[in-house]
Amino acid sequence: MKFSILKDFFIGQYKIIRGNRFGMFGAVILLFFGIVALLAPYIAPHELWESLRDSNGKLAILRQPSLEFPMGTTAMGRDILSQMILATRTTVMIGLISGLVSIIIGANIGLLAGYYGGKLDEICMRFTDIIYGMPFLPFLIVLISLFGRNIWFVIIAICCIIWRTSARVIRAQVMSIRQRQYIQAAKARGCSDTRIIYGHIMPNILPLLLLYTAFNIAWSVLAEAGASFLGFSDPNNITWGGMLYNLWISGKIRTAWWWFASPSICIILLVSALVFISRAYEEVANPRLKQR
Amino acid sequence: MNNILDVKNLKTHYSSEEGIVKAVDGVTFSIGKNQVFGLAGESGCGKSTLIRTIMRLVPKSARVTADILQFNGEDLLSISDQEFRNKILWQGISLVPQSAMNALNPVYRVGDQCMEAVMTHTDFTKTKAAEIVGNLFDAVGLQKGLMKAYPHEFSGGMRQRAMIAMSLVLGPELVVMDEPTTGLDVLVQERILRNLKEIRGKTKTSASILLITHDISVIAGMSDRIGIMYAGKLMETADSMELFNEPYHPYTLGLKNAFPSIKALDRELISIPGSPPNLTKTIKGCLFYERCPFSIDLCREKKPEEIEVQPNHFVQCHRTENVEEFRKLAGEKETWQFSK
Amino acid sequence: MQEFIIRRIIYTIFTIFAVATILFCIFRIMPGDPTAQVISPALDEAAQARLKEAFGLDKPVYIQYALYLKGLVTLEWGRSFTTSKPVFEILKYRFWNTVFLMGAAMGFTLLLGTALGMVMAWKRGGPLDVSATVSALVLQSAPPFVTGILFLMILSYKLDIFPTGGMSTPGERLPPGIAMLFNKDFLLHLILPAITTAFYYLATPMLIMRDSMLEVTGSDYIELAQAKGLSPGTVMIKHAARNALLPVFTVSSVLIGFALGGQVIVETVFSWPGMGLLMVEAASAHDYPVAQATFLLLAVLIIVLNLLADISYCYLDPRISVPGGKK
Repeated sequence: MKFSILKDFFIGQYKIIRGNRFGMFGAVILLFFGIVALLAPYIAPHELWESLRDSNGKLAILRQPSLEFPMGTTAMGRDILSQMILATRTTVMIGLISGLVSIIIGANIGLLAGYYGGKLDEICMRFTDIIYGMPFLPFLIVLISLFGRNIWFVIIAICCIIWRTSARVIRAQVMSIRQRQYIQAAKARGCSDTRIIYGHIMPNILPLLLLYTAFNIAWSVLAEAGASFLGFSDPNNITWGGMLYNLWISGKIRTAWWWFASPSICIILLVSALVFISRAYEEVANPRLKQR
Repeated sequence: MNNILDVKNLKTHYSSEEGIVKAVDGVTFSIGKNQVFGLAGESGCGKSTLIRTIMRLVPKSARVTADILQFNGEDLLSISDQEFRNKILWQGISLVPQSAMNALNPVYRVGDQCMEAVMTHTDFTKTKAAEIVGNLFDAVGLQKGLMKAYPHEFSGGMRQRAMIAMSLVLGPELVVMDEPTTGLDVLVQERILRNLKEIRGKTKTSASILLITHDISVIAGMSDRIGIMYAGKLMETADSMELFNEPYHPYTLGLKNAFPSIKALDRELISIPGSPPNLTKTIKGCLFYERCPFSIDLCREKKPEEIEVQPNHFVQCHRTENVEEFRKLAGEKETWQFSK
Repeated sequence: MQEFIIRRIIYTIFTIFAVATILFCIFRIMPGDPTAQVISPALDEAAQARLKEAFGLDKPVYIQYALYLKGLVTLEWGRSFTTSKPVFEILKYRFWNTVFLMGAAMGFTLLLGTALGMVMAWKRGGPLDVSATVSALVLQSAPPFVTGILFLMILSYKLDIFPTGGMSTPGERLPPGIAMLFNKDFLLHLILPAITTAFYYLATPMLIMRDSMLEVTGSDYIELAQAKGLSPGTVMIKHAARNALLPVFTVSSVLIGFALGGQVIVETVFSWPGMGLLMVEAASAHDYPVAQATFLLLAVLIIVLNLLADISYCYLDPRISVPGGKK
């Protein structure tokens, strides 16, 4: 029975996205990046750090896109297409993990604070205020510079911060749901608090959870790209932001437009796909936005 | 002519996804000086659209036509939006809106919102405007100090009074009151209606009032003349005593049944079965046909013309000759239990 | 009202204190020698030991914590490892550079955003509405280093309209203090970083203003304002926009906080000598006293701006001052 509810829910979500041009665009792009991320090691034509030589045996440095190098090469003669594909995998992984972990943290804090209210709410919200006081990217780079350039520290640092928005929004929503009749009825029936929170309230905020999962993933991707661009990333894993960092420190931005274009377009595409999907959800939640 | 408002064959049609909505479809009535005109009908009958049309508050996309639409002898059809705003709105016609709860802007002081109307249309100084508003606050029974308060600090009844005060600031010739008592409890309703009469006396307003309601009992004691509106048309228009004592239209008979009467407290309340027709559909015959217990074939085939059954008493019904019989039958519950 | 403001101020002090504490803890649990946060590892051992004593680093953690807090309040923020200058002196002018850039950028964002949002709501469903929505969402997805580099590539390198970075042309001296803000050279350098920031954050105020205008224009008090015979402009601005602004205002304080954090990128791309660039330089060079102080100063700026926003919201929305009427 539980499963069929979930199935109906996802079919419902699919219909929402299906009926919206923006949502459909976003879903297609996400699917594309998902597939690339899964198959990355198999479809990347070259090794990550391999310096390429052209057919004449010369080192292929800063080559424009051509048949031989579809997206051109870097200042070190590395294949941009391969880097792009492998970076997709890293970026999608960081985005997914931090997006999911942060929504779990945010949702739980929001649910507990909103449901119990009182002291607990006060504590949770003051804590959220503190996190709101933290400048996000500076926090990221301080943490990474202290603890070392490792992909997991990046993820932890992102998770520490971005749950804050979802916690506030979910708390507000829970506070209004808490007052509703069926929640009061469940209480009267003697349902445990845990059951009310996760069995009765949470299903009602699922669309909001989905919306903020999308947002959190988008923010994680942007934050990771930002930190990488500033040089605070795991040197063993390439990401789109890291590619731009390499371009930036090589000093070739005046000429190597292809090196700039590919990762930039990918970041914009992935993030806007997520943003478009969330806008589709918002329009469903608030039909007035669509009215003419 | 000493009418304040003359309306002849006024139509307001909207286009919607389902087709053209004939929200107001050929309405004719007049309001005399110092007269209280009550307009009654179920919700959705077009009465709100009617007043919004007169006050030009309908969306630009609405199609408004009329043979005559005159305010104080001035043709409202030919005058520009700007002229209408500067000359007619609030100075000529003011409004007490339906929901006093939400009609006050939450971020401005109530007094300032009243003074805004004065200062938009006159050259009065702020002090002078404040004095005018203050006096009206007095008249409606609000303390002058409340002018400095914000809407959320007012109770429902207080807001309603503030709205009435606001509508009178420029001494308009016609005050439109859109459901002035909805959403208020019976006691407050009663007090407001009593107030309304008092205020008219106190301020010596000669303003005519167009009172709109879905509750016929509200206007019974207040109005000089009453129009009964149904599906965008005025079914019956008459002086109020006459309308209550000698109603002609079956719909009026039904409405009278649906509300308690002081004279016959033990009488059972009977409501009219069914619901108003879809305003997008084209109906050949009488609009009330589906719900009328006295209809004949002619009613389905032909739209009734407006006839003057007694001096100044207009009805749109084919069967006015049989009215004596209807009046008797309408009081019985069985009459209204039928299906078509 | 007063009680509300006092409570907010107490919260603010508490929040700043908590952020400072978290920062202290982070520097304590870092791997390696925790004293490295105040004493440059480049010094010889005798000097290190001397400094350790001077900073009280040989004392227990709670005394170190007390000394740390005292140092923060008395503006004794230590010396930079790289330049040996007092951190306070370095930050003093970096702080204002960031404030100027942020002020220009966010002022532009909020003004343009709300104005566009109003027009979009007015002409909803029209070509402007649709195209502005799409482009705002795409701009929101383009991180500032992408738009920033793009601007540099086109407007600076190719067309040579704007300088490539910094606050002034090398060799030229900016007038000190307020006069700097009206200097042509300074303003020319300000435009690109300000616009880059604005583009990234534009979508939020714009879409919220649009949605909130749509919400407000359907309300009864707008109809009443029209019935009062006010001109369409007055109705639109004094009644509709005034109310629609409230949610934009609420969001903008959060947005400015986000933007202050994001300054590190814009300042790096345009070599703007503000706190963001300082932060990146310090963190890259493991210059911890500078990194720590810059971080705290940014946090304090965000928290204080939020407080100011909360207090001014009280004046914008009279409903807030009711007992229990907290947003």
